[in-house]
Amino acid sequence: MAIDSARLTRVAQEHLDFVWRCLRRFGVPAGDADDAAQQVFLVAADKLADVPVERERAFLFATAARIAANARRSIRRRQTAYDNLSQAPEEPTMSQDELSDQLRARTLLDQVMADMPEDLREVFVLFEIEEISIQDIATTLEIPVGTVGSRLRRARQAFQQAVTRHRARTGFKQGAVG
Amino acid sequence: MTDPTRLIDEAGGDALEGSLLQLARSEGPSSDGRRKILAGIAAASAASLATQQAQAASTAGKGLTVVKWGALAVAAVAIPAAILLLRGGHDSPAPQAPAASALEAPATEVKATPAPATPVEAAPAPVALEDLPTLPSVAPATGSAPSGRQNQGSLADEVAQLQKAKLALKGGSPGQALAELTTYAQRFPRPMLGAEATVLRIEALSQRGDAARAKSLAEGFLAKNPNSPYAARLRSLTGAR
Repeated sequence: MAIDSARLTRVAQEHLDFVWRCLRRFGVPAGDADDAAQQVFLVAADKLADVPVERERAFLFATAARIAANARRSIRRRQTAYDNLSQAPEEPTMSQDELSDQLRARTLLDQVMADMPEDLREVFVLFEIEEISIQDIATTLEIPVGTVGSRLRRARQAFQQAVTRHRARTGFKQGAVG
Repeated sequence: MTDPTRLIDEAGGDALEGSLLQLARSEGPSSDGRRKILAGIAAASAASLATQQAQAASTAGKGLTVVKWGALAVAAVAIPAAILLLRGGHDSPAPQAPAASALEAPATEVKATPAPATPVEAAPAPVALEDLPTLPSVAPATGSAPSGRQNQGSLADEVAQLQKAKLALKGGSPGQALAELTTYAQRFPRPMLGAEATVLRIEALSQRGDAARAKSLAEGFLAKNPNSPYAARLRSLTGAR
């Protein structure tokens, strides 16, 4: 494995937060996100020499998406094994007595994002959370600008509907966060 | 195309939606987590570089001494720097610059093998080098210990050997990983990274499907190291108590 150490170090310092958040929004649990983030950079290290500087973030995003997908599969396998051994709860219960608002919000955020189809989630994360422009998202994902716009509209609908459903189901109140 | 207003910036937008998006934007690794991640990357990178240069030297022959010293210098500076970063949580804020600057000089000599610029499929996560916080001190306080240079070089060798096992695991070759770990045990009878080697062995056994041995080894490890940072991972992986 050949690594351009100086570049890897710079890339890691510049993009660590971005990679970490993408992993989280793509379903990697908070407790596994540090490991996964490190894995993104070590997996990417081999290929960095062939990635233009202006494409680094896009490359890391794609790598993070793949690693997150693997992590989700692993989690599903563990969950299946668990379900086979015991009766899993039907719905995560968010007791206001047990959990802080912040933790409930984080749980809700994870659930809302998990409900969103992956192609929509990519656009949603990059636009609404990472504040990347439509044009740059199109470049990052290598899809037409119009497709980004279309996915963003559907992603927003999915996000808003999911929040509404969760609010109706759990009684989660506006302004409960922060 | 003009970008639409982001949901979080929309006047009269839903407060809960805005709160969730604000939360999503504000998330990130903890300062300690960040330090460990960056240190782990620096350590892995340094180990890789040292291995490459040693291999290059062994084939070139002529420049052996110079290149080996170069590799040693990289590992000797970068790896302790990584350890310092890792230990920063217990001491003063860890300087990150030394690790980076130590890696900069020789980096121009090493070029990656051309490969398609597409993300590779992620392998099952083995033990990460960011877990190095259990490393013992590089320079023991007692005067009878080996010199700092000898100790650091040995540590670099240990990291490089463990990196081979880790890469084999990442590549889905637990048998090869176990062979590398056996080599590690033979080369380093009094290892500084014994805990890391044991955890890697458990991962390899587990990946190979030898669940019983993996669990047995994990239980032995946990009995001796109940508070190890690897404990949760090993329990999750093997079901050990």
